[in-house]
Amino acid sequence: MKHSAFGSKENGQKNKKKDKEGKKVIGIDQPFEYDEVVSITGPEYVKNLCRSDITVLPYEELKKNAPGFYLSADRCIWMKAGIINFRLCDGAHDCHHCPFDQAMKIAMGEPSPAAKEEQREGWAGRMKRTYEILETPCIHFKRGHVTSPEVCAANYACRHCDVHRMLQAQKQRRGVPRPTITNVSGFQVADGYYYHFGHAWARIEHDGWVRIGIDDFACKIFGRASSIHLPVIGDFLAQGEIGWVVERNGQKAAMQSPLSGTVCDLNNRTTAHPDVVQKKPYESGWLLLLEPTNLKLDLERLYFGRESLQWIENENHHLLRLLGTEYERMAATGGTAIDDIFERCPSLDWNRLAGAFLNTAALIK
Amino acid sequence: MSLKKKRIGVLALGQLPEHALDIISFHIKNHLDVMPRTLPALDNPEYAYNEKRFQYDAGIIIEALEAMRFSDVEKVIGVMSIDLFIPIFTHVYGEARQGGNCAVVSLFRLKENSDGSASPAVLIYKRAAKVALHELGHLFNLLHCENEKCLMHFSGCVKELDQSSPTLCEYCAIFLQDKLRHR
Repeated sequence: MKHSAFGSKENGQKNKKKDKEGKKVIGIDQPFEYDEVVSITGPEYVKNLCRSDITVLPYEELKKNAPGFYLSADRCIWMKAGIINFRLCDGAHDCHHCPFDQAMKIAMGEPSPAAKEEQREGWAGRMKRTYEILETPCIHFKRGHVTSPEVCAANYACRHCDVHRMLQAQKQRRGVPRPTITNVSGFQVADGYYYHFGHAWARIEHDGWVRIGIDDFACKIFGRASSIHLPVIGDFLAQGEIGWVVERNGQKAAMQSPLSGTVCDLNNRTTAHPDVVQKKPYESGWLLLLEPTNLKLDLERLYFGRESLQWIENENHHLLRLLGTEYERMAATGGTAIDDIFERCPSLDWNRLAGAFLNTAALIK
Repeated sequence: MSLKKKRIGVLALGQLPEHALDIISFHIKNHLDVMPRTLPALDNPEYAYNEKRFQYDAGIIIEALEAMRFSDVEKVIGVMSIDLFIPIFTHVYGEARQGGNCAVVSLFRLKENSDGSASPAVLIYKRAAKVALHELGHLFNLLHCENEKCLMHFSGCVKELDQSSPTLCEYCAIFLQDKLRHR
């Protein structure tokens, strides 16, 4: 019996199809003449030919049965690169575990795996050598970034440490890309941000947290704050309730939180340098990060897109009405709103502004 | 009621460059198909001067113009070369009372480009014409438009003013016709 394509009589009979001329073909999906292919590759090759035409024959056996083919894949990569004259690979090109490859790399100047390991553990090794093994301090604790834990429980494998990962995530969150700004009658409105009628903005971050700040309109009305009193991490804020307090020379204005949620991070820069809030209200002047508890419903109560532009326009008209009858229904062209409207317009009372635009006069006791 | 039956007046407050008023009038005629009347010039509005800001209060000037009750005209555009402001703005190129009768336009801040370089006279008059047309739109109760190319788009600087068009977008044009129909 002649060898069939799949090594069994039944399969061979099934797959030894006959073409129109009565010649045997390898298979119905492989219309190649059996005898012709076998004469070139040998019977073993055809025997192991699978339906996808990819042979699974062990390479050494294949090489033996296919003397007519020059398989260049057996050359070592160092030979292919021209570094050495001749070497055939006997490890299926598994260079990572090849001792010859490692030896060549060392010879070329690359440090050995042991040396690399020693480099990686350089700082950790120094930490271990400096401190007793039982007293290995957490590097973030030593730097003052955290108050606990004091001792490293992960043998300085920081990538596996929750504290380290949390700090890394916080570091990434502090960067806020510059948004596209629309000028609405001299006031800046950031595109893609949600706005609460109390002039706080909310920006959805990629990880589901929400970044919160004060919009440009409120910043320009109340001017440069002397201090900002933020909540603490872990506090729960409800939408519409007081979230933080802006203070200027003893006068305070509470602002409403635009969303409900737990405070996860604070922008400590704003407490140290409150002027950054006014300079870049939509970027580095953000106030806090919130983990929202009722995001979908809360967002429905906020202004967004075209609605927010119209709202700021209306707020501008409201502001002009407060200035006096000569400015009522005024429409300006050109220029920008001044940075400190409260200071430049003595007729505008602090509490009156807070009540008119922040809607928190009633909340302050 | 079409715009042709509206009577629009332009007048100078204080000294103006030669032909400034004529060029603005020409642009109003060109874009709104109505020739404004040139009204007798008035003096510099010293009553509106603010010593702290070294600027002239546009709100006070408009109030003064409204009190003058010009006959034979329904809308008045006052043009001047002095620096205008309103209390919450650094400066303004023009100011109008929404749906009112009087507006003011200043050439003062239109003479410089955004980079501080001096603008040619042609560009200054073109800008002044756009501001005058924009304020006239407010007098006919048009609001600021989101379309950056529309005449009614808010321009915070001369760069944005140069990018805007002296014509209304289709929506503002329809809105203007609707306002005129219901007068």
